[in-house]
Amino acid sequence: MTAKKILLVDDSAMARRGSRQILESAGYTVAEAEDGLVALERYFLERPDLVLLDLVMKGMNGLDVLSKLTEMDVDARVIVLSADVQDSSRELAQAAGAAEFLNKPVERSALLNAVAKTLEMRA
Amino acid sequence: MIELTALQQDALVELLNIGFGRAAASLSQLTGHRVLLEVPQVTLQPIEEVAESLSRVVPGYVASVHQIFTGPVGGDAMLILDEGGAAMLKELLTSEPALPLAIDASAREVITEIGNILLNACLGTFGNLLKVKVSFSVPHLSIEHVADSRVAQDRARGNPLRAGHSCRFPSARHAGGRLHGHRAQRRFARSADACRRRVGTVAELTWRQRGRTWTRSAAPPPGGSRSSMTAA
Repeated sequence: MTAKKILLVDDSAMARRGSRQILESAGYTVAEAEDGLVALERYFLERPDLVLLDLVMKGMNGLDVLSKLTEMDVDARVIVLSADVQDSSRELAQAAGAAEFLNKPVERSALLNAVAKTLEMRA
Repeated sequence: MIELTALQQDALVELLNIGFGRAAASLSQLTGHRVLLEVPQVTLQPIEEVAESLSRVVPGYVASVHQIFTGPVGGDAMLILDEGGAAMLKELLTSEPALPLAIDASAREVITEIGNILLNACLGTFGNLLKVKVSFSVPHLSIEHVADSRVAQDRARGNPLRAGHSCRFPSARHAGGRLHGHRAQRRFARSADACRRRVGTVAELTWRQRGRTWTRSAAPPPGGSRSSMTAA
Protein backbone atom coordinates (compact mmCIF):
# COMPACT_ATOMS: atom_id res chain seq x y z
CA MET A 1 0.00 0.00 0.00
CA THR A 2 1.35 3.47 -0.89
CA ALA A 3 2.26 5.64 2.07
CA LYS A 4 -0.03 8.62 2.60
CA LYS A 5 1.58 11.95 1.82
CA ILE A 6 1.34 14.91 4.17
CA LEU A 7 2.28 18.50 3.36
CA LEU A 8 3.72 20.45 6.31
CA VAL A 9 3.21 24.21 6.07
CA ASP A 10 5.08 26.22 8.70
CA ASP A 11 7.56 29.09 8.54
CA SER A 12 9.51 27.58 11.44
CA ALA A 13 12.08 25.01 10.35
CA MET A 14 12.12 23.67 13.90
CA ALA A 15 8.37 23.09 13.86
CA ARG A 16 8.57 21.37 10.47
CA ARG A 17 11.43 19.18 11.64
CA GLY A 18 9.50 18.08 14.75
CA SER A 19 6.35 17.19 12.83
CA ARG A 20 8.33 15.47 10.08
CA GLN A 21 10.07 13.20 12.60
CA ILE A 22 6.77 12.13 14.14
CA LEU A 23 5.02 11.55 10.82
CA GLU A 24 7.88 9.72 9.09
CA SER A 25 8.35 7.45 12.10
CA ALA A 26 4.69 6.46 11.64
CA GLY A 27 5.22 5.63 7.96
CA TYR A 28 3.90 8.76 6.28
CA THR A 29 5.63 10.52 3.39
CA VAL A 30 6.23 14.21 4.07
CA ALA A 31 6.59 17.31 1.90
CA GLU A 32 7.26 20.79 3.26
CA ALA A 33 6.40 24.40 2.50
CA GLU A 34 7.77 27.39 4.40
CA ASP A 35 5.02 29.86 3.50
CA GLY A 36 1.50 30.05 2.15
CA LEU A 37 2.25 30.68 -1.51
CA VAL A 38 4.74 27.83 -1.70
CA ALA A 39 2.15 25.67 0.08
CA LEU A 40 -0.51 26.33 -2.55
CA GLU A 41 1.94 25.62 -5.35
CA ARG A 42 3.20 22.45 -3.69
CA TYR A 43 -0.32 21.26 -2.92
CA PHE A 44 -1.20 21.08 -6.59
CA LEU A 45 2.17 19.63 -7.58
CA GLU A 46 2.44 17.03 -4.84
CA ARG A 47 -1.25 16.24 -4.36
CA PRO A 48 -0.88 15.37 -0.66
CA ASP A 49 -3.55 13.40 1.19
CA LEU A 50 -3.51 15.88 4.03
CA VAL A 51 -2.11 19.32 4.93
CA LEU A 52 -0.74 20.26 8.36
CA LEU A 53 -1.01 24.04 8.46
CA ASP A 54 0.37 26.76 10.76
CA LEU A 55 -1.68 29.97 11.19
CA VAL A 56 0.70 32.87 11.79
CA MET A 57 3.28 32.91 9.01
CA LYS A 58 5.26 35.46 7.06
CA GLY A 59 3.41 36.52 3.92
CA MET A 60 0.13 34.68 3.51
CA ASN A 61 -1.76 33.98 6.72
CA GLY A 62 -2.72 30.37 7.49
CA LEU A 63 -6.45 31.13 7.45
CA ASP A 64 -6.09 32.62 3.95
CA VAL A 65 -4.18 29.54 2.81
CA LEU A 66 -6.92 27.34 4.26
CA SER A 67 -9.69 29.27 2.52
CA LYS A 68 -7.83 29.18 -0.78
CA LEU A 69 -7.16 25.46 -0.50
CA THR A 70 -10.74 24.53 0.28
CA GLU A 71 -11.98 26.88 -2.43
CA MET A 72 -9.74 25.28 -5.05
CA ASP A 73 -10.18 21.70 -3.84
CA VAL A 74 -13.34 20.88 -1.93
CA ASP A 75 -11.79 17.57 -0.91
CA ALA A 76 -8.74 19.18 0.70
CA ARG A 77 -8.17 17.81 4.20
CA VAL A 78 -6.43 20.24 6.52
CA ILE A 79 -5.34 20.05 10.14
CA VAL A 80 -4.34 23.36 11.72
CA LEU A 81 -1.35 23.12 14.06
CA SER A 82 -0.83 26.47 15.76
CA ALA A 83 0.58 28.02 18.92
CA ASP A 84 -2.58 30.15 19.05
CA VAL A 85 -4.67 28.75 21.92
CA GLN A 86 -7.69 31.01 21.44
CA ASP A 87 -11.12 29.44 21.11
CA SER A 88 -11.99 32.13 18.57
CA SER A 89 -9.10 31.05 16.33
CA ARG A 90 -10.20 27.43 16.59
CA GLU A 91 -13.72 28.44 15.56
CA LEU A 92 -12.45 30.53 12.64
CA ALA A 93 -10.27 27.68 11.39
CA GLN A 94 -13.08 25.16 11.65
CA ALA A 95 -15.47 27.53 9.89
CA ALA A 96 -12.91 27.86 7.08
CA GLY A 97 -12.81 24.08 6.66
CA ALA A 98 -10.14 22.72 9.02
CA ALA A 99 -10.86 19.13 10.01
CA GLU A 100 -8.93 19.44 13.28
CA PHE A 101 -7.26 22.20 15.31
CA LEU A 102 -4.19 21.24 17.37
CA ASN A 103 -2.05 23.41 19.62
CA LYS A 104 1.73 23.53 19.71
CA PRO A 105 3.54 21.88 21.31
CA VAL A 106 1.65 18.78 20.21
CA GLU A 107 2.03 15.30 21.69
CA ARG A 108 3.05 12.59 19.23
CA SER A 109 -0.08 10.55 19.97
CA ALA A 110 -2.40 13.54 19.56
CA LEU A 111 -0.89 14.40 16.18
CA LEU A 112 -0.99 10.85 14.86
CA ASN A 113 -4.56 10.33 16.10
CA ALA A 114 -5.72 13.52 14.40
CA VAL A 115 -3.95 12.58 11.17
CA ALA A 116 -5.41 9.05 11.16
CA LYS A 117 -8.90 10.35 11.92
CA THR A 118 -8.74 12.99 9.19
CA LEU A 119 -7.41 10.55 6.61
CA GLU A 120 -10.24 8.15 7.46
CA MET A 121 -12.73 10.92 6.73
CA ARG A 122 -11.37 11.05 3.21
CA ALA A 123 -11.54 7.33 2.58
CA MET B 1 -0.13 58.40 36.00
CA ILE B 2 -3.23 56.26 36.58
CA GLU B 3 -3.34 53.97 39.57
CA LEU B 4 -4.82 50.52 39.59
CA THR B 5 -7.40 49.72 42.25
CA ALA B 6 -6.82 46.70 44.46
CA LEU B 7 -9.51 44.83 42.53
CA GLN B 8 -7.91 45.67 39.17
CA GLN B 9 -4.53 44.62 40.52
CA ASP B 10 -5.93 41.31 41.80
CA ALA B 11 -7.71 40.62 38.55
CA LEU B 12 -4.58 41.27 36.46
CA VAL B 13 -2.42 39.11 38.70
CA GLU B 14 -4.84 36.22 38.29
CA LEU B 15 -5.13 36.77 34.54
CA LEU B 16 -1.34 36.62 34.35
CA ASN B 17 -1.22 33.59 36.62
CA ILE B 18 -3.42 31.70 34.21
CA GLY B 19 -1.62 32.94 31.11
CA PHE B 20 1.80 32.15 32.51
CA GLY B 21 0.48 28.82 33.76
CA ARG B 22 -0.40 27.89 30.22
CA ALA B 23 3.00 29.10 28.98
CA ALA B 24 4.76 27.15 31.74
CA ALA B 25 2.83 24.01 30.83
CA SER B 26 3.92 24.43 27.20
CA LEU B 27 7.55 24.93 28.25
CA SER B 28 7.36 21.87 30.47
CA GLN B 29 5.92 19.81 27.62
CA LEU B 30 8.63 21.01 25.22
CA THR B 31 11.58 20.40 27.53
CA GLY B 32 10.31 17.48 29.61
CA HIS B 33 11.21 19.34 32.79
CA ARG B 34 9.16 20.80 35.57
CA VAL B 35 8.57 24.54 35.47
CA LEU B 36 7.68 26.25 38.76
CA LEU B 37 5.54 29.37 38.84
CA GLU B 38 5.75 32.26 41.29
CA VAL B 39 3.16 34.95 41.90
CA PRO B 40 3.20 37.57 39.11
CA GLN B 41 3.92 41.20 39.90
CA VAL B 42 2.07 43.95 38.07
CA THR B 43 3.79 47.29 37.80
CA LEU B 44 2.97 50.56 36.13
CA GLN B 45 6.00 52.55 35.12
CA PRO B 46 7.14 55.12 32.58
CA ILE B 47 8.53 53.54 29.43
CA GLU B 48 11.92 55.19 29.98
CA GLU B 49 12.41 53.12 33.14
CA VAL B 50 11.54 49.73 31.65
CA ALA B 51 14.82 49.04 29.88
CA GLU B 52 16.73 49.86 33.04
CA SER B 53 14.48 47.58 35.13
CA LEU B 54 14.95 44.75 32.66
CA SER B 55 18.71 45.19 32.50
CA ARG B 56 18.93 44.76 36.27
CA VAL B 57 17.30 41.33 35.98
CA VAL B 58 18.82 40.23 32.67
CA PRO B 59 22.17 41.99 32.32
CA GLY B 60 24.33 41.79 29.22
CA TYR B 61 23.37 40.51 25.82
CA VAL B 62 20.01 38.79 25.45
CA ALA B 63 18.01 36.92 22.85
CA SER B 64 14.57 38.48 22.66
CA VAL B 65 11.53 37.29 20.72
CA HIS B 66 9.19 40.16 20.05
CA GLN B 67 5.57 39.76 19.00
CA ILE B 68 2.99 42.50 18.54
CA PHE B 69 -0.58 41.60 19.43
CA THR B 70 -3.58 43.61 18.31
CA GLY B 71 -7.32 43.68 18.95
CA PRO B 72 -9.39 44.90 21.89
CA VAL B 73 -6.43 43.88 24.07
CA GLY B 74 -3.28 44.99 22.27
CA GLY B 75 0.37 45.64 23.04
CA ASP B 76 3.88 44.32 22.64
CA ALA B 77 5.17 41.12 24.20
CA MET B 78 8.74 39.90 24.47
CA LEU B 79 10.42 36.74 25.64
CA ILE B 80 13.87 37.71 26.87
CA LEU B 81 16.51 35.05 27.45
CA ASP B 82 20.03 35.58 28.69
CA GLU B 83 22.80 33.85 26.72
CA GLY B 84 22.98 30.90 29.12
CA GLY B 85 19.23 30.36 29.07
CA ALA B 86 19.06 30.53 25.29
CA ALA B 87 21.91 28.02 24.95
CA MET B 88 20.32 25.63 27.44
CA LEU B 89 16.94 25.75 25.70
CA LYS B 90 18.58 24.98 22.38
CA GLU B 91 20.42 22.00 23.89
CA LEU B 92 17.27 20.71 25.62
CA LEU B 93 15.25 20.82 22.42
CA THR B 94 17.80 19.62 19.89
CA SER B 95 20.29 17.56 21.94
CA GLU B 96 23.02 19.43 20.05
CA PRO B 97 25.68 21.62 21.69
CA ALA B 98 24.91 25.32 21.49
CA LEU B 99 27.21 27.78 19.72
CA PRO B 100 27.19 31.56 20.11
CA LEU B 101 23.73 32.70 18.97
CA ALA B 102 25.14 35.02 16.31
CA ILE B 103 26.47 32.02 14.37
CA ASP B 104 24.01 29.32 15.46
CA ALA B 105 21.11 29.33 12.99
CA SER B 106 19.58 26.26 14.63
CA ALA B 107 19.50 27.97 18.04
CA ARG B 108 17.89 31.06 16.53
CA GLU B 109 15.17 28.91 14.97
CA VAL B 110 14.54 27.13 18.26
CA ILE B 111 14.36 30.34 20.31
CA THR B 112 12.03 32.00 17.81
CA GLU B 113 9.63 29.05 17.82
CA ILE B 114 9.73 28.77 21.61
CA GLY B 115 8.98 32.48 21.83
CA ASN B 116 6.07 32.01 19.45
CA ILE B 117 4.64 29.15 21.52
CA LEU B 118 5.10 30.81 24.93
CA LEU B 119 3.84 34.24 23.92
CA ASN B 120 0.84 32.74 22.13
CA ALA B 121 0.05 30.47 25.06
CA CYS B 122 0.05 33.42 27.43
CA LEU B 123 -1.68 36.03 25.28
CA GLY B 124 -4.10 33.57 23.72
CA THR B 125 -5.24 32.63 27.19
CA PHE B 126 -5.94 36.32 27.83
CA GLY B 127 -8.08 36.32 24.68
CA ASN B 128 -10.01 33.27 25.83
CA LEU B 129 -10.64 34.62 29.32
CA LEU B 130 -11.58 38.10 28.16
CA LYS B 131 -13.69 36.72 25.27
CA VAL B 132 -11.87 38.82 22.71
CA LYS B 133 -9.96 37.93 19.55
CA VAL B 134 -6.25 38.73 19.71
CA SER B 135 -4.23 38.79 16.48
CA PHE B 136 -0.50 38.16 16.45
CA SER B 137 2.36 39.36 14.30
CA VAL B 138 5.05 36.94 13.13
CA PRO B 139 7.62 36.58 15.96
CA HIS B 140 10.88 38.46 15.47
CA LEU B 141 14.17 37.45 17.10
CA SER B 142 16.83 39.98 18.12
CA ILE B 143 20.17 39.44 19.77
CA GLU B 144 21.13 42.62 21.55
CA HIS B 145 21.77 44.35 24.83
CA VAL B 146 18.60 45.12 26.81
CA ALA B 147 19.46 48.79 26.64
CA ASP B 148 19.20 48.56 22.82
CA SER B 149 16.05 46.44 22.84
CA ARG B 150 12.52 47.17 21.73
CA VAL B 151 11.51 48.86 24.96
CA ALA B 152 14.52 51.14 24.75
CA GLN B 153 13.55 52.00 21.18
CA ASP B 154 10.03 52.85 22.36
CA ARG B 155 11.57 55.19 24.89
CA ALA B 156 13.64 56.85 22.19
CA ARG B 157 10.53 57.38 20.08
CA GLY B 158 8.81 59.06 22.99
CA ASN B 159 5.99 56.53 23.18
CA PRO B 160 3.60 57.17 26.04
CA LEU B 161 3.60 55.67 29.46
CA ARG B 162 3.27 51.91 29.46
CA ALA B 163 2.19 49.37 32.00
CA GLY B 164 4.09 46.16 32.57
CA HIS B 165 3.70 43.01 34.60
CA SER B 166 6.19 40.66 36.14
CA CYS B 167 6.25 37.06 37.30
CA ARG B 168 9.10 34.71 38.20
CA PHE B 169 8.87 31.01 37.57
CA PRO B 170 12.07 29.15 38.43
CA SER B 171 12.55 26.15 36.18
CA ALA B 172 14.15 22.86 37.03
CA ARG B 173 17.03 23.47 34.62
CA HIS B 174 18.94 26.62 33.83
CA ALA B 175 16.81 27.97 31.03
CA GLY B 176 16.12 31.33 32.55
CA GLY B 177 14.49 34.23 30.80
CA ARG B 178 11.90 36.90 31.05
CA LEU B 179 8.56 37.44 29.39
CA HIS B 180 7.86 41.11 29.12
CA GLY B 181 4.64 42.77 28.05
CA HIS B 182 3.73 46.39 27.90
CA ARG B 183 0.63 48.24 26.93
CA ALA B 184 -0.58 51.80 26.96
CA GLN B 185 -1.81 52.50 30.47
CA ARG B 186 -5.41 53.21 29.55
CA ARG B 187 -5.67 49.89 27.72
CA PHE B 188 -4.06 48.22 30.68
CA ALA B 189 -6.70 49.53 33.08
CA ARG B 190 -9.46 48.56 30.64
CA SER B 191 -8.05 45.03 30.54
CA ALA B 192 -8.10 44.90 34.31
CA ASP B 193 -11.76 45.91 34.42
CA ALA B 194 -12.69 43.50 31.64
CA CYS B 195 -10.80 40.77 33.43
CA ARG B 196 -12.62 41.43 36.67
CA ARG B 197 -15.98 41.25 34.89
CA ARG B 198 -15.23 38.21 32.76
CA VAL B 199 -13.17 35.76 34.67
CA GLY B 200 -14.90 35.38 37.99
CA THR B 201 -13.48 35.15 41.45
CA VAL B 202 -9.85 35.09 42.37
CA ALA B 203 -10.26 31.84 44.30
CA GLU B 204 -11.81 30.07 41.33
CA LEU B 205 -9.09 31.26 38.99
CA THR B 206 -6.31 30.23 41.33
CA TRP B 207 -7.78 26.77 41.56
CA ARG B 208 -8.14 26.45 37.81
CA GLN B 209 -4.61 27.65 37.18
CA ARG B 210 -3.08 25.28 39.70
CA GLY B 211 -5.05 22.35 38.40
CA ARG B 212 -3.73 22.80 34.91
CA THR B 213 -0.16 23.74 35.64
CA TRP B 214 0.87 21.33 38.30
CA THR B 215 -0.73 18.20 36.93
CA ARG B 216 1.07 18.68 33.61
CA SER B 217 4.50 19.32 35.06
CA ALA B 218 7.15 16.62 34.86
CA ALA B 219 9.44 15.75 37.77
CA PRO B 220 12.74 17.70 37.91
CA PRO B 221 15.89 15.84 36.90
CA PRO B 222 18.10 14.51 39.69
CA GLY B 223 20.57 17.21 40.63
CA GLY B 224 19.06 19.66 38.14
CA SER B 225 20.01 23.22 38.95
CA ARG B 226 17.40 25.90 39.46
CA SER B 227 17.14 29.16 37.71
CA SER B 228 14.44 31.64 36.92
CA MET B 229 12.11 32.51 34.13
CA THR B 230 10.49 35.83 34.71
CA ALA B 231 7.47 37.26 33.07
CA ALA B 232 6.59 40.90 32.97
